[in-house]
Amino acid sequence: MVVQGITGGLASYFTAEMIRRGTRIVAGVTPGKGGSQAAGVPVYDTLREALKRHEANATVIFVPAPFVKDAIFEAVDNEVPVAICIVEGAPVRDMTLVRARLAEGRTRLIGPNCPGVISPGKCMVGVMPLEPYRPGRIGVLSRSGTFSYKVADSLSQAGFGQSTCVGIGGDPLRGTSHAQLLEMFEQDPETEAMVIIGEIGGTGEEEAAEYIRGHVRKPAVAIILGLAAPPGKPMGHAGAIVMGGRGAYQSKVEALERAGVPVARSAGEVPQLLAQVLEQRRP
Amino acid sequence: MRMYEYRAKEVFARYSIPIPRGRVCSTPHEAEEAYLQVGPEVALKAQVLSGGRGRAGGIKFAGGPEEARGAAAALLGSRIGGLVVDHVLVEERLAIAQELYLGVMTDTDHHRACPLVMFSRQGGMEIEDLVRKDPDALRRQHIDHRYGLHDFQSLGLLAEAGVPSDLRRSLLPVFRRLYQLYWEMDAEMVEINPLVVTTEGKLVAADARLNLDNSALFRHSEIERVFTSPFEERATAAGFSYAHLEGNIGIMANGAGLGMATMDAIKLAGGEPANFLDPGIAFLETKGILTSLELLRDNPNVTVILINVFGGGIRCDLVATGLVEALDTLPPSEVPMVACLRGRNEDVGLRTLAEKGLGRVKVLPSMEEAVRLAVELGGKRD
Repeated sequence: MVVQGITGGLASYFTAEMIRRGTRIVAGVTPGKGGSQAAGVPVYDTLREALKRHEANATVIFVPAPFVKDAIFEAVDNEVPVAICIVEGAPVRDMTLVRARLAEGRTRLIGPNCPGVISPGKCMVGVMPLEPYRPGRIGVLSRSGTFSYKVADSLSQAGFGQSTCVGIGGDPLRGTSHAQLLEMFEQDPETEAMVIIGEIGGTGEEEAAEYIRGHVRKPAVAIILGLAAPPGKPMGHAGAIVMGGRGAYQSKVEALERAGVPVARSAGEVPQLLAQVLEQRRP
Repeated sequence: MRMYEYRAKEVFARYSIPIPRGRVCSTPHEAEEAYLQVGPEVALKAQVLSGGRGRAGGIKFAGGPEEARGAAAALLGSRIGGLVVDHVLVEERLAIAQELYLGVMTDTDHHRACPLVMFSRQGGMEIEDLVRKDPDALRRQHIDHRYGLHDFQSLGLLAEAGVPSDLRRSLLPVFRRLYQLYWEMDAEMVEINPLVVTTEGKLVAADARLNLDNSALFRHSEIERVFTSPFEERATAAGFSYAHLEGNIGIMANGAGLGMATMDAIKLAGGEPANFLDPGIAFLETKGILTSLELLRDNPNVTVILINVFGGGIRCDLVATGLVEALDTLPPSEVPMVACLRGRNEDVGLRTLAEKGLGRVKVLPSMEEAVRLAVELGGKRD
């Protein structure tokens, strides 16, 4: 694993944290800081130089928002299989170009504006805390970071450990969609059921519901944030905005329920619904 | 960020998109002077960031200097959509033959996430109303942003819309320039509604709507930042995410998701959130917490403050010390405070609040209980 933007405050702190928790970080990249060290890891000016010396199959991106496009393009150019972008504030125009570039390349992007990915007991990439998670068989996908910690906590307390939890990010344009992740979880032998954490804005949850109807057999439950949000204002996340009638709470809840995915109204209700759908599945 | 019409028109002018002759005025006297420059018939348009200006009486017409003065006086200082009118745009009144619609926005839901150019022969009405009434009246074309807008695509839209041939070529430059403006300015959306064809056959952007991507403002330093509320302005200056709402239960939460979850829980419990507030990393410092509390206390609608933390990157122990220091610094307040601190270092945080909070903050062990108490203390919706 490589860390792009490693010398930033958040990056160096979490690089040390990731290493402490078992993630193999072999190098960092910060233009102009090549030759130095950060969190005990060698720093290079470019990803190419880092990859000439070290083997890595993933990168985590902490660069400042104006440089996110550059960093992702660099990852795609170097054919890094997975890029996880924590950074909030990448301009939409930049992300439309990133999306086009990703379609031509071999890199899967998670994020931007996401807390990362965790397989409890195995590995964490990003800024996710340790405490709420337990190993288990529930897959979690979420646009929100902090609320996903709360949901993981609820799940753990109810005895539902997690296989992998993925933050897909709070921005309107994301590298990997709900539907794409559901496909991965559907094929993951370690995952028995999924929890979808969505929010107002965009059509990702509706597309997920559509995908579930056609392709997903494993049970799933959901929770959608933003019931109380008025139209026209973003609620923190750039992607969490109801505009011109699109992206409304009700539309997402209805789509998911029609696809057989019950929707919880609080983090505490998630494990209850999960128990129900799993019960329904028992032969 | 939504821009004022007069500012959007300044940008239009930079891109050689024709706009009416006019001047922005902040006093009735200036409006009278403007009338003398661009009359004999003028339109006076309230400059506010709220929608539905026309319906709310925010556009007046005048045929003489006294009338212009009077119209400006009536508009300035009035409220439209809850916002105070500080400026009025005084423009030559156009002799309108046709009203068209032209807009460019980013279709973030499209699988390719790309620009969308929209055109209609039926300009002059709210585009959402038009689409509801007559969906075929709005013609749409997705653009590959790697290559930009081609003339043949613009002509295609015009042909679909049934614009007569002789008019089509003259519209091409406006299409090109508007698309270029959209792309270079990092616009979320730009609209000319109506795009007027005057009785003399000239094209003029009678109205200009320009919303810029907030995340891109750092690379447009010449653009003045504007806000729809002084609270939003203060919050932005402090680096917070904030949205001003109508209710009485003030909220501080870490993370947009937890913030929305808190708002939702309040609503479900019968209460009404006063705001959305995520202080971000400022939550780790006394200064950030103090500024947040001041912001919430300064909102006259707020009757209780709810602090909801689930620490991941944020540490409960630092939030607790910051909160205690902030409360020690601020003058005492009648507004009760309720908190739930969970997650990273919650034990230390809770101990700090128990020992040093002096009962100024009521701490509940779960978010649900904290929300219930906040709604009780703050009062339910009528």
